[in-house]
Amino acid sequence: MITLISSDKRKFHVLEEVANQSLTIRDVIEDRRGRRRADRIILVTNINSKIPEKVIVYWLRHFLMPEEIAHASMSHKKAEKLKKWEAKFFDTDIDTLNDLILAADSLDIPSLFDGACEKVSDILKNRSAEEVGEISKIENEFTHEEEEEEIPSENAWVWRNEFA
Amino acid sequence: MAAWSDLTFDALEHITSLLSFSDRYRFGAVCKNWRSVSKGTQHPPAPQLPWLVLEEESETRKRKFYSLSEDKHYSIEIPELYGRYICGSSHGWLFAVDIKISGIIINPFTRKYYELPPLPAYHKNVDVTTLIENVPSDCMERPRGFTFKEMQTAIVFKAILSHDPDEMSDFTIMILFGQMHSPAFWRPGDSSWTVVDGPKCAMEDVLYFQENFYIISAMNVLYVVDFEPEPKLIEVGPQICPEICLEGCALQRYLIDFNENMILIERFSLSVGNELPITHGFNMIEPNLEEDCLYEWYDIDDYAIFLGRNSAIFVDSSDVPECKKNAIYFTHITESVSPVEFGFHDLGVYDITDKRINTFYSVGVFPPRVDSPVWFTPNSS
Repeated sequence: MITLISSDKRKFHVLEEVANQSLTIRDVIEDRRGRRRADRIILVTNINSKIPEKVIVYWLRHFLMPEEIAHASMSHKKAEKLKKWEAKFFDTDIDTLNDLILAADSLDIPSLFDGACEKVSDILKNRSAEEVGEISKIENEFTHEEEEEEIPSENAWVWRNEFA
Repeated sequence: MAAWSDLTFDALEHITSLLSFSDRYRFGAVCKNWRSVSKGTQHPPAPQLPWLVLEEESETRKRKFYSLSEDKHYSIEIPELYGRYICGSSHGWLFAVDIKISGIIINPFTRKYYELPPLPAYHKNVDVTTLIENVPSDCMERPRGFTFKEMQTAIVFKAILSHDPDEMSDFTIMILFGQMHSPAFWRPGDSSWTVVDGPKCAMEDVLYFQENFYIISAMNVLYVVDFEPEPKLIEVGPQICPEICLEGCALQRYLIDFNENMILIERFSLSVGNELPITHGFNMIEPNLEEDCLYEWYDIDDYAIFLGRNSAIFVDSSDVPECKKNAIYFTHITESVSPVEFGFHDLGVYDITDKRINTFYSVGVFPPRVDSPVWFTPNSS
């Protein structure tokens, strides 16, 4: 059993085999094998407790259906079921997705990273830069002149998503 | 909660790789960091259906584009295209000609362009100065001569590029010009166009395939362009029987490089009475040069082909959910020198499986226009 500690100091106990889906954790465990119990505690400082919870749910679902089997011999029906489950799993607000990407990135969980990025790209589709700026709360720091200069031909259509 | 600005370069790059051309452009306009990611990425954008290049807006002179995947029009300010007609598109570049018969090729998104030398005379009896700007619709007495609009397919019928000029500076532009659609080419550094010597019969399409230019004539003869010593056309490949055309039936031929197979596509149109011809069906034949024989093609699986005044494009529908599979999307090519304004009378998508033709745009999207829209794959790399 290993222990994950989130930024808000909550502890999560996970079976090693399950947590192994994080390549980062797998390496850490490998490095610390045979050492004291305290070394089996991993701090996940950049994410709050809501995220490890989600990550663990994701791990458990995938642990029951390991990736290699998923690709090689999973029946069509089971693959569909997992796809449906993933669609529901990623159907969350954009800030959670952002946190999931960060967690998947730092813990190195490729399938979670890909899934969350894909969902974010789906959300960005067909939105103007203004809308994306609002959703992501990112300030557009281009000055008007820069906008003209750097995004010359396209600024109008990029910004307003306009119809002719 | 982490902020969006905390996303790592890897994550942002992965997200941009999943975005289509237009979504990626908008993504890059959000902030400087995202702009550098969207500009710096090596990933091609997520596949999208080609766009159509339409005419310019009469008041603003902005160029209109129609993105089929998004069912959306974009009006983009491109001063280099003011008053020009688009006669071809390859690799995200447009070939455009103005009333003075001077041509350019331009990538409308990077705004890189090449100014081309004066085009070869499109008709020995027609002087550029006889072209008239426009005939007002209420004009009782039509001025002598033809308008540029009417003559545009006779000036340059089609223009294609061998390579993306951004990837290879040593590219070739091949055009079919004049009444007979004769081939001529230009390479960077050339001071003028070089006309390719060939038989005096009308040419219908040109293809760059496995490092050679191939041209198909209206007599169904396939030629390869031989550049040395004097550029000329040489007959190649198996003999292709000309299709027998019944009265009222017209045929237009296209050449396409389809997954490294050269395919000749024949498009049949029928006109009833005085109406303009309407497309009825397509035939696909592969002139196999290595085996010197012909193969009939009956389907193209999950692919869709886009035919028009562009280098023919194909798209794998399994990458683009909104794409019809085993289908041919087509636009009309104005061939008639007619003062009559007509609309988008012959745009559609042909289903190879059930041989039916449907429209591909939402009802009411296209107002009637004169220009032939050109398929175009936006590219800003």
